[in-house]
Amino acid sequence: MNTRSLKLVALYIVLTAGAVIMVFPIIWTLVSSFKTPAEIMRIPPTFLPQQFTLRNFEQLFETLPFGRYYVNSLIVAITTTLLVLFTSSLGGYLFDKYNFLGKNLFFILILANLMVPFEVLLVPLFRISHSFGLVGNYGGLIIPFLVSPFGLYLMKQFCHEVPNDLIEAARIDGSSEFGTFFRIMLPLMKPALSALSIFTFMGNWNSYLWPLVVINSTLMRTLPVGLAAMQSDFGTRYGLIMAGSTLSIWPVVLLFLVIQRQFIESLALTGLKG
Amino acid sequence: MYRMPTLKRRIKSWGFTPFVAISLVILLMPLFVFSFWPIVEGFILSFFRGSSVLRPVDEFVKLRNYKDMLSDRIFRTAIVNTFKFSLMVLPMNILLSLPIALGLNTITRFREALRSAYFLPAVTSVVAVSIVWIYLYNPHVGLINTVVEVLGLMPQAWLSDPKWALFSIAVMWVWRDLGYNVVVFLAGLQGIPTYFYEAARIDGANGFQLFRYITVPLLRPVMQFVVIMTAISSFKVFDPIQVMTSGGPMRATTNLVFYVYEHAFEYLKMNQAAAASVVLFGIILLITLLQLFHFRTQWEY
Repeated sequence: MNTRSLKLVALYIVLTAGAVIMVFPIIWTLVSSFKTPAEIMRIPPTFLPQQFTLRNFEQLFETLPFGRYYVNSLIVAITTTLLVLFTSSLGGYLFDKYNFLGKNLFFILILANLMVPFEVLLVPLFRISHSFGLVGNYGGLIIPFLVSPFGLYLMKQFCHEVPNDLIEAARIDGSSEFGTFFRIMLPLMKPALSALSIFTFMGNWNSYLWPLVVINSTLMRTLPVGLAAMQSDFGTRYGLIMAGSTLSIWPVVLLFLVIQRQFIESLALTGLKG
Repeated sequence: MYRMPTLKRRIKSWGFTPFVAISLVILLMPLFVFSFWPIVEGFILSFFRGSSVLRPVDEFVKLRNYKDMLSDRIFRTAIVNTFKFSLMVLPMNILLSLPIALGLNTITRFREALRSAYFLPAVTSVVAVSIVWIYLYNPHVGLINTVVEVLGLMPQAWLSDPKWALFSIAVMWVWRDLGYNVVVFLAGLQGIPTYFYEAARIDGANGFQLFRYITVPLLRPVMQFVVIMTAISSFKVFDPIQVMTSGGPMRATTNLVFYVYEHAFEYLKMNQAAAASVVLFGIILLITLLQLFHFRTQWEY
């Protein structure tokens, strides 16, 4: 072999080794969740479970309202995503295709929110949510996140590609303004909406800080809050903890593996524009 | 004869058709209540003191919250830890993600599969992987000490040793976050037109020169973006700190966001937490504005 192809082989070996290290903790979570309490504490550790057991998963649902955590997370993430898709596409359409007094000012005000990190708003947002009766219920997990400045900006960029003639034609054909939005624009925005829905869903599914402060009962916990509480209650029962983590991580991992290409490409696009 | 326009007509001439008006209300109402108002209220809270959590604006105390905060040893530790954490994360992240992206840009076969593998940790729940890493970092049965021993190094009590705790979280954070930067760097590299390289090669440039005089300058805007974004996200880190160490041991992992959370929701000192939030906001805003200013002036090539 010449040096060029030798270099390439070395490059592949290094890149593959790095990739294995990156993926390893995720696979380790899965294999560990099928181990018995004795095996999971064994030194040196085993890789594949020698005595395959589903006991950890059974215990998870017996000792904790784990199913309820799951349902809570699903309800909150799906509802928030649908609402954000609606407000983002409406806002994108409005700010790209309409002219009205103060439009630029409104738009800058909305974008300015991108510069304010959520963590900074934690304390006053909690007080405000409390005064609206949004502490300890689904509303508190959803309503503060109805409008996403990032989503609106993304959809505005996308609306810009839609020719104005199309909207004009719809108007001449007697379509109402709402009708044009719902029947002409929304279907056209599908590709951008699917990218936005993935980001919004994953962000929401994984979010921790806000649910941690706004939820005050065991039954309303979302998955991350439930997992963290489990960690502090069951400390070293690693089998149970790995089972819980597996159920949180793996559905998203599998979803990602199905849509990886589309996901990463839209990320690179929006990331660079961000 | 000239007639004064009625209010209705004037509103219409401003462009506020029913659709525009309704949409604006739908969009601006939630933003006002859950975003603009909290910003204002955060500032107000930081200058007041209250009798209880739900009545935090009883007495105007000027800068007392800030003074108390500055004389609080834990606050100073939190500031130091916030920057320390960034200084650990930033070099590790860039020095790993840029070479990986360069490598991925060189190969053709399996590029997408490898890219996805590097990105995979970024889609996981931070809380879930934090508790997985607690297991990995376990001093007795954890995999990391097993590997450390095989390599002939000293096993450590990673998360319960104040010397190592912040660094251990930084390593986990780099693992979780690396994929974003790999993807962004790779996209940036692929955006560099190949004819630049071809032209330089015809002029007799070698591999290093290609990297130094074409890749580096053309990748600079992407590099700035990545550095700023990584810095900001490392300033705001909360989940692994709360889950893995609760700010300990001996405050070794207490950063600003954790300080805010702890004061507001564990010590119930809302006003002091608000003052700390203002400081955090100031730091992040400064970096953001720096980046905006920088981007404006240096984007074009």
